[in-house]
Amino acid sequence: MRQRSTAIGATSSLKVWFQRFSFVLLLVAAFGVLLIGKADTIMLSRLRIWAADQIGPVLYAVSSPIETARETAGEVQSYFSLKSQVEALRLENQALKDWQQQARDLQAENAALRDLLKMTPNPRLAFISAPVVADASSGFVRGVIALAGDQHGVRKGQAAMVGNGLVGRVQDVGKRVSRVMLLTDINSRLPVLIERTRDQAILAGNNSERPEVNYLSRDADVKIGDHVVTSGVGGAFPAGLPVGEVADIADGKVFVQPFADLGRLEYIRMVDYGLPGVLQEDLDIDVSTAVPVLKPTAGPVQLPKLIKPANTQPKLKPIEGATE
Amino acid sequence: MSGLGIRHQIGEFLRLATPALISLLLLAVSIAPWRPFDAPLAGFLVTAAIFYWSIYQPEAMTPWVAALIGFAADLLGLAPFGLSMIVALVVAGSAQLWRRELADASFMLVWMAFAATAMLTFFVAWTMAALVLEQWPNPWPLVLQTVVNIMLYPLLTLLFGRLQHALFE
Repeated sequence: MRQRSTAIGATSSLKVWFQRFSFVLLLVAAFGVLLIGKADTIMLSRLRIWAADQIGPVLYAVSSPIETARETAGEVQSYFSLKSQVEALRLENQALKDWQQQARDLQAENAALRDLLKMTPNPRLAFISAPVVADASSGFVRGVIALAGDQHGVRKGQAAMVGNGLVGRVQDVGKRVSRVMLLTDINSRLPVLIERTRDQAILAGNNSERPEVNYLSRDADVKIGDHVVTSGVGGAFPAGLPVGEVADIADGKVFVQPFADLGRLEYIRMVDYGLPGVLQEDLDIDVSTAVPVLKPTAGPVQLPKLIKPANTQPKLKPIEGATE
Repeated sequence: MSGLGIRHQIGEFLRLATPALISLLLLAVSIAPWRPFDAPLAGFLVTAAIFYWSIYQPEAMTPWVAALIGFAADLLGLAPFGLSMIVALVVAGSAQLWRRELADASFMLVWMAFAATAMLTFFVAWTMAALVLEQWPNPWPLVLQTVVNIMLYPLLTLLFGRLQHALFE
């Protein structure tokens, strides 16, 4: 009897020891995974997009009923506020008509100027619209997974947009799904310019709702409400895509509120502008020589020299008969 | 072996696997492109599931299962690769450490223990992320996540309790 209880005690302590050992083993393995993820980012991104490819349909199945519930709630809400909505739409329509007239004038002026410059028209844009099936945004990363991948024509580095502005860029592409890094992600760096003052800068994500404008000229006269658009520097995106507006200026720091509601993305549109860009490492472009490495400095803000890669020069034909 | 025996074993396996499957479902729901709060909450709710099942059904939430759930969150890209696995293990480890005291304790005490664990994971995750990202990440989204996670714990406990009652009692 005593021998039996000793044996049970030994088995029990062995079990406890094994549990503790496996816990330590797993913790070591987790640190190993952390180091591997840091060292081999290409393998990591392939592994992640492969996993997203496999569970994409599951995520779509889970998100569909939630999306339906949200739409139903929205419809009920809008039914009760129809009168105020009609009034608001009437005012908006009036404002849009004014804008339409201005746009027509500008379009005509633009066409005349293009004709004068003998500028080649932009290549036909390719759009791929896709539902967002997962919002993989946490305290560390800001990204979404969209249900369109390689087989639908999505390519790494393409711009991801919604109707009113830029959302981010395609980071990884799987067969059926793609992962989009949002403007607000801590790794996002986007060359922008302040539309009114034409000051160039870099919009840096910080994992908050409002990314920060870095490398702005010290004498830049930026005001709250100024529109921020892409500058086209770096060749990733064309110039002039709407990004957001200056929402806050505090302690010399400028923060931008993106036009797109990044917290509630339903559908996004991947746009191929036909620019190779510096973000597509697959094209064997030496990224380190294409743009300088920009790191925030503690001292006074300086405007760095932003070098445009040779392959992103605007397609302008020389004017016949012009002399240098 | 009789068919009944095999069926019993499959049933037993499914019963033990349910907490892990529920955790994975919670992970999938938490990354649905809609959130009631204007805060990124992806993946964090799963820590409540790991904590609860580690205390009340430890045979169904072993460190291996917790690590696998963390790895699944890592594959979804919710944090620097490997960090979710570490967070899952920290939560499972804390729950196991206090299991004897918490298994029969009042709900308020368990809730406070979860709050302490959530704060511990916040510091671990934030520090580890700073090491990996080589800069201090903005702490506020993470603070918000932690607070919302603690606030939602009673609701999740209610759901887990019903499930536990149906499956294990």
